[in-house]
Amino acid sequence: MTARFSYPIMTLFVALAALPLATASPYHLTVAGLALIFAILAQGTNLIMGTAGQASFAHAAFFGLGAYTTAVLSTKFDFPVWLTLPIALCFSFVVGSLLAYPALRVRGFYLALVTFAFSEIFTSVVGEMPGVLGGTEGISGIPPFTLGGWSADDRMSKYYVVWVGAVLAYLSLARLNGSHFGRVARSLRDSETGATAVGINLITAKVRVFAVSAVYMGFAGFLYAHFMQYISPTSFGLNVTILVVSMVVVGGLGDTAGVLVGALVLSLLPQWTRDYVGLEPVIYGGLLVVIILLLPEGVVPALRNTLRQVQRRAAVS
Amino acid sequence: MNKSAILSLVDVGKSFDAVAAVSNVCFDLFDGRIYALIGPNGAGKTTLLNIISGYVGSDSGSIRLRGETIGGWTASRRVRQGMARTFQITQLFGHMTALENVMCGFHTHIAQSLASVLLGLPSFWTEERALRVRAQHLLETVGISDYANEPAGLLPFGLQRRLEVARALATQPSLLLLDEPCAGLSRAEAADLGRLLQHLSRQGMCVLVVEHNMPFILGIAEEIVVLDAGEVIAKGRSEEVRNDPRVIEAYLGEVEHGAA
Repeated sequence: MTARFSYPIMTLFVALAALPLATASPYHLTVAGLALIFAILAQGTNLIMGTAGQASFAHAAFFGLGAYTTAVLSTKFDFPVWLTLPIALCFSFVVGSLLAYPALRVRGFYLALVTFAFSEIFTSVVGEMPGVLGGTEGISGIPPFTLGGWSADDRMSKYYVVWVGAVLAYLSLARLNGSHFGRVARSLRDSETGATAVGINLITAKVRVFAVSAVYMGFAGFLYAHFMQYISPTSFGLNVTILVVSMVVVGGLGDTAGVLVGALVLSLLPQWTRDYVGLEPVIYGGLLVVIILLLPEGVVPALRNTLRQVQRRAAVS
Repeated sequence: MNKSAILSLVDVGKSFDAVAAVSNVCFDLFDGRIYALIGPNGAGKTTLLNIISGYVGSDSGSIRLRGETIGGWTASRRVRQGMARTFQITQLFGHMTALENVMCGFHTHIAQSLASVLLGLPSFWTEERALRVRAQHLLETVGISDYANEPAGLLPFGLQRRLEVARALATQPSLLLLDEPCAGLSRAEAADLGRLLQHLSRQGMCVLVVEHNMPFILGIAEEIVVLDAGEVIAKGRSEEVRNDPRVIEAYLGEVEHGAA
């Protein structure tokens, strides 16, 4: 389904923009900012996994790639933010294309294995390189977002930069989904035979979608590096891979608006379950199992369908 | 091989393990004509269509499209060179609307850059509007414009067949291959489809139809190729082929028996 800047989504973004009015707590703003960053990462993952139907698990690596590119350029080479951003995005696009070309010649389980291996190799390599990449210690001292003479030194400023990034990511993905690019991506999911029958070169189309989704993941990494000002390999490990897949599945595969909501909910879930120390994985896992079994299309699409049925019944009666 | 033919098959063969699905098939197709490929179940009709359209490679022989050997071409490249097809089991994009399915059909004629999409350049909006209008027109052509915004996967089987024809036409083919297009269609719908194919052939399109509906075939096909056990047992004008004793024995007798 294509994403639109519908009233519920608009209301959600307005509410998120108003959050600092309700709480100035740096902790709350950090949690909310990370939720928005993960929403971008999940939507980028959804483009290749949900919209195009390719079982890719490389998102944690591209998230890390964007973050490390940003961190290395800004701390080791003093690159300004306006320069690190395009470089991080281009680098994600290029590496995404290079990985996609051989990886997307296989499909299903094998594609999942190849991309998952890429993610694991990424964290291992970064952890083994203490020089430029900081090794297991990571990279600290990453400067905050800056633009001209302005600098996002406080948590609220950083939060608003991330909020703007999340809005831009959502709007651009909505536009892409509604364009021919989005139709080609969806055709790959629905019928590769049918896609070929309209002249779509499967490899070229898959590489394109993969590379564009990598750009969104890299963008999330760029925001993460400047938002947290510290990164380490553990920030891009297996837990991120699983968490983001959960966000996509809960939100609804291929549903950009749903994945946005799913990502926000799952990012905030640990805040509600932290009183039950030790039980979080059980609550988390149980919730996922219930959703996958009862609402396989995702929570948001299920709610949307229910709302439509209620409206139809109301119209009939 | 005739040099003016749009498609030429010379000694085309294909085996699956030790079973010959298609053997030494030779025929030429010309612009502006409707051809039928008929034969009993298992005769190799769909395999031959798959070989022509690039979904299955041949083991022997050669296929030429406007004189150019296309044996090594991918299926998508053949589409770009003017060959379109439909499938025995429809291959629509089930989650997309009927209109979006047809819009996908314009793929080889679309020049949207990612920059024009993301920046919302006028060229992007102009092209999208034009695509919608043209897709809607094609849906009207096949008589399903009322279902433009319905998900293709939820359409009845007969409408899906017609939608697949519309999507194939969106690729702007000069050679159209149809695999059992009448399956699931009522007699009136089949008659509409026949008139559409005749209209397209008058405009210069070459149409090759695989079909079991003999009244439909005899009503529109100018020439018929008959396959039996992978081999061409007859080819020629409709009236000649339908009276050929080998064809009656191998296929038409079976069809009439089945009809009775």
